[in-house]
This record gives sequence, C-alpha cells and structure tokens, in this order.
Amino acid sequence: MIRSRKNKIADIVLFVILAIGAIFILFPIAWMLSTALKSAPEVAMYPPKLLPEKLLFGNFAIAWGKAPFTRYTINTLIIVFFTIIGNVFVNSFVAYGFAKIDFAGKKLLFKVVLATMMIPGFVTLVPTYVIFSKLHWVDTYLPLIVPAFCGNAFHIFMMRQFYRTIPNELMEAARVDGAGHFYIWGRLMMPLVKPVMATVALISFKGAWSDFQGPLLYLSDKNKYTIQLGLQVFKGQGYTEWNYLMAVSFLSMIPILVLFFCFQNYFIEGMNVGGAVK
Amino acid sequence: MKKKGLALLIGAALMAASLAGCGGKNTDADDTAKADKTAGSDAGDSSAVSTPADNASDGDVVELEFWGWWSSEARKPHIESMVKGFNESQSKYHVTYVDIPFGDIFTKNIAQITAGKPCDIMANNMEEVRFRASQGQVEALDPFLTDDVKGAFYEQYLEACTGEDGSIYALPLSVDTRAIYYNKAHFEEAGINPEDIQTWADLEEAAIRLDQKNGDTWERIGFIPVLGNGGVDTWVINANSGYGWFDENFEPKVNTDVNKEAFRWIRAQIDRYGQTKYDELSAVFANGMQDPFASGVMSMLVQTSAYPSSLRQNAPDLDYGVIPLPEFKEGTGHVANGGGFVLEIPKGAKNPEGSYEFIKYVTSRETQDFLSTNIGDFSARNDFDDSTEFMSNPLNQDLAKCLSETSTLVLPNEVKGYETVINPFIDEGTLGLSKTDDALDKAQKALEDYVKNN
Amino acid sequence: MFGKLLTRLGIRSRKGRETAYGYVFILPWLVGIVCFVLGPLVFSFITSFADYNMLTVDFIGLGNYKKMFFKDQLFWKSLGNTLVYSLLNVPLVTVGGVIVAVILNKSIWGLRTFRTIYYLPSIMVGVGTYFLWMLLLDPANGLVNTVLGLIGIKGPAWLTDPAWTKPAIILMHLWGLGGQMLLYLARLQSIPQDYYEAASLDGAGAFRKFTTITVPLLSPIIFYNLTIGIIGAFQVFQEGYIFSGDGTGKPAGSLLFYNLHLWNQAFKNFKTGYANAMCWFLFAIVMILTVCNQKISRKWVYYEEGDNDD
Repeated sequence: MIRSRKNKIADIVLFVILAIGAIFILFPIAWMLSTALKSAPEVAMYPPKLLPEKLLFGNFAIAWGKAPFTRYTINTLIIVFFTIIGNVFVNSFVAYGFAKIDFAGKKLLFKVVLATMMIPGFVTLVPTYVIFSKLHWVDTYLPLIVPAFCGNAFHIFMMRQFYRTIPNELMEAARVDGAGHFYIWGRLMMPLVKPVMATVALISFKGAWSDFQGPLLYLSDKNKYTIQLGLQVFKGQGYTEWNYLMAVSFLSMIPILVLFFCFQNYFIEGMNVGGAVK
Repeated sequence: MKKKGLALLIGAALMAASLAGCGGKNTDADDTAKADKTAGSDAGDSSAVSTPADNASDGDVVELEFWGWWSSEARKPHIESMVKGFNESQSKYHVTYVDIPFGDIFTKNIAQITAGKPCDIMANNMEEVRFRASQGQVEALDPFLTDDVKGAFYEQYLEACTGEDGSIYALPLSVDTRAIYYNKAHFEEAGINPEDIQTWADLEEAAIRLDQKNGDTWERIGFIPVLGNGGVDTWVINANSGYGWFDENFEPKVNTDVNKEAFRWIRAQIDRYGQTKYDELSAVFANGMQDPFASGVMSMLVQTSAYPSSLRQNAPDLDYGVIPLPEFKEGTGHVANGGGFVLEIPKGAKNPEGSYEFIKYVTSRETQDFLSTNIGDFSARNDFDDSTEFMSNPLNQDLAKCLSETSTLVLPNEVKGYETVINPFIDEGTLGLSKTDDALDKAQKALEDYVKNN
Repeated sequence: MFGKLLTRLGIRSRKGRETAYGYVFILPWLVGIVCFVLGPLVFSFITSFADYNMLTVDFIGLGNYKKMFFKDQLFWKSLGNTLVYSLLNVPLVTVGGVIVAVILNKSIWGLRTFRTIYYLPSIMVGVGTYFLWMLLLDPANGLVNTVLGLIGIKGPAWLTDPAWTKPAIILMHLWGLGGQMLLYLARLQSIPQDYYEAASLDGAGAFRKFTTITVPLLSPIIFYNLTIGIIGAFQVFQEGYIFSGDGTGKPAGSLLFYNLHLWNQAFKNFKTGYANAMCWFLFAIVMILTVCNQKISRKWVYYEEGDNDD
C-alpha cells in the first residue's frame, strides 16, 4: 500500500516535470505560429508581442501561393521516397555483412566505414560536385538519391549495432538447416530489425525532407526545387518576410509530424514484439 | 529454394539499383520535366521566363543564365521584367533569371566554375571583385569594353572593379552608402534641426536631448553608433577621411591616436545607456526580425541606403529622414564606408560576348533608372543626375549627397580576410571586456602579425 | 543459388565462402566509396600540400600544415572553441537524452502526447529554428530570461556575451534531444519487465536498477550516440554561421568554430589547399577520439553476444 502511494506521488512529480519540459519545448513552436499570424509591422515590433492583435490566418494561404509549394512538396516527396528505399534496404543489407559475416578484411573495412563518418563534409563538397557534373547529373535528382543506394556510414553503424544484439545461435541454427546468408538476411533478420529500419526510415525522411545544401547545389531548374529551397522566396537581401517564412515552415513540418504519430505506434510496439533482446 | 531465389532476386535488384539506379531515375526526372510543361501554369509568374524549353526550337538563340539573390516580392518581379526587356531588345540571346540565396550563391558558383560549367552572368559583391579576379574566378571584360561604357561610371567604382593586373572584371550594378536615419517626430519634439548635426559632438548632443529615461528604464534611445549597419569601422573610416585600419600605403594603423579617440567616443555613447542595454539592442538587431527604429524605440540609426525598402514593409507610416554621417572634427569630411554590387562573367562561361551584352544593357542609364525607381538602389553612373525619375524623391536626393562622400576603398588582396583577425579584439572593446585603447593595441599587434604571415 | 555459383567457382572452404558472401553484402557501400568518396578524399589529401584555389595547384610541401600550427592566429582559437563546445555538449545531451527516455518509459498519463512533444524539436530543422531561438534567447524579452527572471535569476546576454554563446547553443541542443531520446526509448521498451522485477526481489532500489540494468542494456546505443555526438560536435558549423550573423564567429570570435574557420578559408579566401589541410587535421583528431572511445567502450558497453572486439 505504502509503496503504491509512493509511486503515485512519484508519478505526479514526474508528470509535472514532463509538463514543464513540454512547455519549454512547445514555446518556440508557439512563437513560430504567432509570427506566422502577424502582419509585417507587427513582426518588426519591438518589444515583441506574443499574440498578434489580429490573427491573420490568411497568411498561410498567401504564403503557400507565393511559390509553387504544392509542386515543391511533390518534388521533395519523390526525393524522400527513393532516399528512404535506398537507406532502409541497402544499409540493412550492408550492415548485415559487417555484423554477421566473417570475412577477410572486415575489420579494416569497417574502420573505413567509421572513418568516412568523420570526414568533414566540406572536404568533398566541391570534388563531389565536379564528379556529378561530369556525369551530367547536375540539375537532376540523381546526386540527391543515388548516394542513398550506396550506403550511409551512420546508418550502417547504427544497424550493425542492432544486428549485434541479435544472438548468433539463431543464425547458426538456420545455417545448420542449410540456409544461406541471403535467406537469413531477408527472412530471419529483416523482421527482427524492423524497428531499426523504421528508425532509419524516419531519420532518412527527416534528412531528405530538410536537406538544403544538397538541392541548392545540384538543382537549378525552379520546377525541380524542393520545399527548403522554396522557402528562400521569403528571404531577400536585407529584408525577410518572416510571417510567411514561418507559415510555410510550419506547414512543412506537418508531414513529418503526422509520420511520427504513425511511426511512434509502430516503432514502439514493433520494438516490443521484435524482441531484440533474448 | 524458391525463397532463396526470391531473396537473391531482391539482393540483385538492390545491387542493380545501387549500381545503375541512375538510369531508372533519369526517366523520373524527365517525367517531372514533362509534367512541368502541363502543370506550368501553377508554377507562378516565374515559369514564363524560366522554362528553358521555350526557346529551344529556334536554334540561333543562345540561352544565358543570370544569377542573383533577389527573391523577395519587392525586387524579383522588377529584375525579371528587366530581363524580359533585354530579351525583347534583341534576338541573339535569351536570358533567364535564377535567384539563389545570398551566401549560398557563391558556394554554388565556385563549385560550378571548378566543374567548368558556370552560369553566364553573376551578381556579386563589389569588394570581392579584385580578389576573385586574382583567383581566376572571373572573366576580364576588356575585350568587349568600349570607352563610352567605361566613361559612364564614377571612377572609384570602376576602380573597385579593376583587378591588380589593370583589367576590368565587372561593371557596377548598384552602389550603397551609410547614413543616419532619424525619426522626424522625435526630432520635432526635442526641437532639433537635423541640419545642425555636423560633427560627432553635435550628434552626441542631439542624442542626449532625444534620450528618454523613466526611472531605471530607457524609454527612448537617442543614438548608439554601433548598431544597425554601423560598426566601429564605420566611425574609424569616417574619422580618418576614408582610411580605416590601414594608412594609404596599407600599413596597419589600428591604434593611432585618432582611432583611440574615436573608439573612446563610441564607448562613451554605449556607456550612457549601459552595457546591458547595448547588449539587449544588439541582440535585437542580430535576430533580424525586429526593428527598434521602425517601432520608434530608437530615434537615430546608422543604416545603408537600402534601408527604406525594409521600412516600407515594417513601418509604412513612419516619418523619417536621413542625414550624412557627421564629421569627426570640423573639416574631416562626412565620409561613410560603402560598397555595391556588380555584374560579372564567371570564369569559363560559354558565351562571354552575350553575357557582356546583357551586363551592358543592365548598366545602361535607362535600365539603371528603371531599377532605381522600382527597387530603390543607387546607380554608379555619373550621368545619373537629378533628371531621372528616381532622383525626384527628396529622400533619395539626401541619400545621394551621402553617396557622394562615400569611400569604397578596396584593400589589396594580401590583407584579404583581415577582419576576422581584428574584429574579436574590437568586439572586446564594444562589449566592455577590455579598455578600448587596449583593444586597439591588441588588434594592431594581431593585424601586424597577419600581414607579416601573409 | 549464390552458393551453387561459389561451388562452381571452386570456392568450397567455409572461410572462402564467407568472404565471398561478405563482399557481396558490402558491395553497395564499396561501390559508393570508390565512386564518390575515395576520389575526392585522395584529391583533398594531395591538395592539402599545395597552394590550391580550386583552379590552380602549386605544391608547397608542408607549408599549409606549418601555417596552421605556427602562423594562423585563428586556428587555435577555432580549435579551442570547438573543444570547449564538444566537451560541454556531448555529455550533457547524452545524459539528458537518457534521463528523458527513462522518464518517458514510465507509464504516465498523457505519455504518447509527451513522447511526441519531446520528439517534436528534432524535426524542426532549418534556418527558421535558429532565428526562433535568437528570439527566445533575447536578453530582455526572450522566454529563457523571462523564466529565469521569475525564479530570481538575471539571465545573461546569451548571444552577445562571448562567455555565454556556447552555453546558448547547448541549451538549444538540449531542447532538440528528442531524436537521441527516441533511440534510447526504443531500446528501453525492449527490456523485459522481469529483469526489473527480479532486481526488485533482490532488494535493489530505483537507482541500483538504473545502473545495473538500464545503463548496461542501453550501453550500445549510448556508445553509438557518443560516437556520433563527438563526430557531430567537432563538425559544428551552422550554429556559428547563423548566430554570429555574418559568419565571422562574433561576438569576440567566440563562435568561430573549427569548421566555420575552415569554411571561410575555402570559400571566402579561396585557400582551399589550406582548408583541406585543416580538414585532415580535424579528421586525425576525431579519429583518435573515436578510437579511444572504442577502446574504453570495451569496459562498459555490453553486447548480448558477448564479443566486444572490433
């Protein structure tokens, strides 16, 4: 009895802590919304006001109409789709190789995987551009998509960590039954690492959805632009249309948000069922 | 066995996707391009100019790309109608305007030049021209330039566009200066005549009269010299009649007596309001969203000549005027530091002749008047006088006066990037972390080392 | 089928077959490395010994490295800034992530909503978020100092006071720790409750259970996040670029991070050879740290299969 009462108090304390944290977290988003609903002079007002005098909900429609954002959304989704497919399958495939197969040179090669994570992106920025340019891939989505099919060191590393939590006995048993590595990967392991794949999918979605530098560097034709590039329409030299920028930024967050709601379900339940721990 | 086959198939498919995935996706990109044409109407006004396929049929027309960073509604439509004007004025070239965010545009341009396929015409910072020319990033305009074109610009701007080898690498698109913007209502209330502000001492006196303090809180800030677009360098350049941290031989002269006096004066202006107040206000300017001058919290502010376009949006009802930066001491001149933007041809552009035709068109008197009137930028042309539509606006006349006393000194390439070395020390002075005299002494030492090591 | 192919090729030993399989599995990654990474890397390494401005190459031996260590005043400053930032940021965000995950693993009313809210900041990416934070950190009217004022603390001038710029960035990252938290949470969800029940029967308190069950089982993820965190911290760029307003790392050079300095050298001053030398030095530092991390990890990271060798 005493224990459960103590637990209850602890729960309330935790709830209050979480609630305070939640307010802290939500406040910037509240700012974003309130800025989106303000008029230009109100945005520039100093000292600032949290709530605008008049809530200009029309800003959302105006902002969305200032550039072909619907088309940009579709473009972004195309890139996101292929990036996810590439990242989820290729990385789980490669990570399986590193985690579960003993082959000559593995240790060295895995060190190379780790090393590639540590290379500052700038060092390869221009040379990579030159390569893609020579391949005539500039102004297509290929420079943004193809690398996802070549494995990503971060994801390989992460998935390998998960594969390694899966006991080897499971695999050995299948091998005794004559199963090859393709079978084990596709049939035995895939269901077990689904939660990780979900995580990788989510991270890839986030990454591709919010990527700015890549599309900026490789896309020139306005009709191929992504949302992040489209947002630049509100930023001029010396003057930014903050209210519209925030309006579209807010709208562009919604898909990931929705996805997370769905994912959260699958992700957390899936993890329990998956039972990555013996 | 069947399952094994399936797994292998998936494996093979993935392999194929990673190896030759390009082929498949290429068609995707093509499909998108096709879809563009049908859905072109929803692409907004830009699609009319930016669909390269439009002119692909007549083979003689050379397609050129013009890169700038003007994307806002206040500027982009005018840039595009200017481009349209050029396209209609002749039949050999067809230019498309592409806007890319400021800052990132240079990265993208560098990558393109390295890959050997740059855009055809590019907007850039005037102060970067000489350095970029020395790095082989720009095509020289000499083969195309004629004397009548060269003679149409003020000498100092053309000088800024000239490389160390004497060739001209760009033509000025627009120029800017710094001035002090003041709130007319505040001035009237305090009984200040803007024309009386001639020296730094006058400015300080006016600021004190404009200040309003209620108990411990400042309700109105008269003037802080190092906010908005004013920096310590602005005032040092003003005090030295055009030279700032260097003398005319480009020897480091950071801790001179004049500079020390100037910095002490700046320090005194900040101290009148206290470090906390200054920190607060400089944070506001850093976030770029709010504008205390537009809100009437500050009575005067140093800003560039492009400021009115932002005030039009943020404070349409604000009644304001401009005065030149005052003189450090009587006779030292109302010098402000300024710069501008230029048009240049990136190294390796496919048709420099066509690019030049466009640059010539844009920098012509007629087009400059169009741009000034609609965008509010100033021209570097010397025949751009009061007869133009733009100059009929009194505010622009006042700004033009400031412009005539503007220094656009371009430093030699050897000292490129020196600001990052001295600014941390200068900051220590404005932030009250060290005495201004000491800050300048440290900065002098740092700059000497920098020059020696380069 | 692949097995038959190997047999036909005469690869019969288990070791040989495993190696063949292994390379088939890592093939996509190998292709990527060879096509898109190796070339640029080798190129950047070679040009780090040259006066290179992306158009012309002029070999100067160790000149760039000498300049880096002995002549560039900002090199050490930027390295120092980055070190201080990393030392503060990585542990704080990791500990914060674990704590939030442990709390969000309890059954509390409104749990699903809380999880979503805590995850939310990690999807708020893009420049807009940085500007929002500049408003929140406003010394006079920002939320952070307003809240601090309520409990009687006078908040600092976060982004204008050089002493507070790095804590300001870390605060922003703590706000966005939801992404990391989620990884811990997913792992925590898979820990069977009977582990804890057994421990309770043995009389273990909440803290003991945390240190003897939760932390060991989380350790592979903590290790992963530490590795990524160190790498990420040393590559901090955007924060310095945006918060300093003009990319120079102001105020007083406190936001001049290593990568920002490197960026300015490469893309503003066209000293690409020098920037490449800086890149390789950074690479060496991060490499050493990662190897150390990995060596130490053998002492605390717990893998179920029991082998910790790499």
